[in-house]
Amino acid sequence: MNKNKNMWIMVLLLIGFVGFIWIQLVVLPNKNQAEERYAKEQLNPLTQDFNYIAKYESDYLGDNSNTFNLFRSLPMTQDEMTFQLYPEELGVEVHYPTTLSESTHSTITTDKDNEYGQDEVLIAYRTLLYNATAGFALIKNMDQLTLEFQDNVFEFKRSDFKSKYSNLDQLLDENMWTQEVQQPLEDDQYVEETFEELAIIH
Amino acid sequence: MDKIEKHIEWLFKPYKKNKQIQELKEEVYSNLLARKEDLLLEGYSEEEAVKNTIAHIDSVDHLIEENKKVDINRFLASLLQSMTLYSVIIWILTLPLSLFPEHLLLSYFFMILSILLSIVYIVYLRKVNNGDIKIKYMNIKRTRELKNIAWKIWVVFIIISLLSVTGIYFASNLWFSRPISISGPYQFAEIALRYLTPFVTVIIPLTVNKARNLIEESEVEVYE
Repeated sequence: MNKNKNMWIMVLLLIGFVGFIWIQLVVLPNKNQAEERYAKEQLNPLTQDFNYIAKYESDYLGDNSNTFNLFRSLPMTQDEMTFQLYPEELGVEVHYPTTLSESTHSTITTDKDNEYGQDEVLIAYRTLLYNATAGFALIKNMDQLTLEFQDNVFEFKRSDFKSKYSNLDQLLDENMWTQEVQQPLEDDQYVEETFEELAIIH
Repeated sequence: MDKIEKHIEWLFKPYKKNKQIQELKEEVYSNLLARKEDLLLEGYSEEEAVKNTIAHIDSVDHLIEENKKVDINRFLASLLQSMTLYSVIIWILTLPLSLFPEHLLLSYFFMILSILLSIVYIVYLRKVNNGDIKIKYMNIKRTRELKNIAWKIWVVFIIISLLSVTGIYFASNLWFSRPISISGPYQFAEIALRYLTPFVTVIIPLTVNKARNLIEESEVEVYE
């Protein structure tokens, strides 16, 4: 029997157990925390990762599952939301099963909300603007978007967003998205003014 | 076939029929016949002489050149020691798999295997240290063949695994000559792991290989 080998076995077993415990107690909890944080960040327009929604870029709103999945990935997403497509008008209607206020609460998930815009209505406007921008930028032939809540209905038109951003395609880049879409939304006054400019309230 | 011949057939049953074995068989047979004749001359009855002759030899293991006399406890202790070492090394290498839910079990498997092997190794080590000797013949030629077969099967297994992983991930890309796209570091790691994990089975041929080498190391004495 090789005595050296015994020593190696003991040293390696020790390394193995230390590594195992480190992974279980440090690495995995950190990873889970990071994943949870990331998932929460996706529910907020200021922190959403553009790559999380970039995969839904499409030339046609008729690509039903893609269109639905895009809105399911945007802030205010809810399990029971439903959709209606209007192929002739190139319009999409998203029906939220709750009131605007209830939907807004689901987006208040990160610390960033405490820093910016505590006003619930502003948070709602910010999220609606963000969702509409994402919709028009990623679904290239969508002309109209209606976001319908139990107590409110908001309508957006591509032509308005086009004049606001001049070229929606240029937004389809992680840095541009943050710079042009997310960062301005941090400013309450900008949100208020832009919402008045772009949203049609029914 | 007389009783002595039958007995010889039974003795040589575990061995392959080749020229060497055939010669050995004939030699043993003529020796036994000579012994029977002697016994008959001494006044034994035919039946008694045959019975006595058969009782004279109950194994031919020591006559086979390729057979090595091995202390089986020492042999197993050494083999378990090496297996434990292999297993622990593979366990450490597979530790990062804990981060990938799909491969998690492989890492746990090697952890449990390492612990079990260590325990069994300690049991055999104590047997050896207590002077518990158990002699057995082991056929070195057969283990050499086993070693070759084990390595061949393993190589074939690895080739099939690598091809099938390539098939699953890239066949349609290659077939339609589309570029291969890997979306991020996590997906790259997933694919790399699919390629690498089959290699942990190397512990099987390594063990057989070690067993083959250990027969010579654990040999108690060479038969003369």
